[in-house]
Amino acid sequence: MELVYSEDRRKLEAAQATDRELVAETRRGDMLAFEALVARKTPAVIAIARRVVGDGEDARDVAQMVFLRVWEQLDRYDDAYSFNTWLYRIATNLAIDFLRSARSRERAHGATLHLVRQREESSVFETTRAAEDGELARLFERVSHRLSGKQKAAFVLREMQECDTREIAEILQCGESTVRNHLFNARRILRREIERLHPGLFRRSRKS
Amino acid sequence: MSAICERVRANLPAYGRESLEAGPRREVREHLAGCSACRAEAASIDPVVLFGTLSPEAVSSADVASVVASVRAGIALRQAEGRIARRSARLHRAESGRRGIRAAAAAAVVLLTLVVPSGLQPPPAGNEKAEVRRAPSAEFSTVAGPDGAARASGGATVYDWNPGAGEPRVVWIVDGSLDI
Repeated sequence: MELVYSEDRRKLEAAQATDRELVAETRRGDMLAFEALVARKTPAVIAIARRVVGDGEDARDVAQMVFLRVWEQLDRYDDAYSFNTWLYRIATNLAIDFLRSARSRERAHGATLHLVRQREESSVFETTRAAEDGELARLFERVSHRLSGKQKAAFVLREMQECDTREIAEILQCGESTVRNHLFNARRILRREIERLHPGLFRRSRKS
Repeated sequence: MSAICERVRANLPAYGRESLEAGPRREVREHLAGCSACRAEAASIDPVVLFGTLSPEAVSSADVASVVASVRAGIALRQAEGRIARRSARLHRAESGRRGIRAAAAAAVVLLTLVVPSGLQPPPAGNEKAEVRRAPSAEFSTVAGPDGAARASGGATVYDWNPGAGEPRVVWIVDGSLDI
């Protein structure tokens, strides 16, 4: 009875602790602290992975890999820096790796998959409700397929996680000018893909 | 059209060019999420801007629990793998030690086999031929007799055992004046 009470109390304390405190406790071998950290950060990690890899199930797999990597490399984390930056770096790197391997698997599948996708593309957006959230999310998945891993990660971090270019540069371990290039190219490719796949879609939405 | 709608619409091109400060940028994003008229306007100017209004997909508590459980299992697996690796490394080290001892023992036996019989049993007088197991080598050819044993100066006899084929050659000299 005392043990149960003690574990509940520790969980409560862990839930109230800061990221840095949880990291410090984890380094001392406290698994409850680490699990609290995982529970706290899972939604953000899944959100990033979801947008980069384009699939919810894959995003959960990536999230698991991310936290295993965090656990293995926690000694390398310098707590002078933001834990989120370090975590997002691991998350984007693993998501990009996952995306690359998924794309190479797709290439192996070849023309069949391409035909399936083309059929899917031609059957969507027959209404002007494209700006609605669900449709918009599906549109992003479809058109962002043309982005490189880094372009996609930069765009997701900027637009969906509201990171500034300095933070994205730290996460992607590149210069801010490179981040701006990635963002510029990502927007250009996304615009071109929207126009290619759904010509006039948004111009129609304005008239309606 | 409200003042904020006007301001947001005016800022849309700058938003797409990444030239807005953080404050106005947040205002555009938040306003677009709630104003359908401005969303339609944004879609006609730069549809990519709308992706910024996508709210993060809801992650259920079951998803979080599933990730936590998988991570816990993964860590347990890694720890078990680490223990197995450490144990097999220890076993490997111990086995290497045992192999070393066995090799040293074998070398000692070989050495004793080669050296001890000849050392303990000197050739009987007048029958040196029996003690020479191989023909003497070229080094002793100038003093060696046809029987393979060489007569060195001072009455000593040179015995040469050269098995060949990479085997070590053993040479020993028996001084005839010594009582061994």
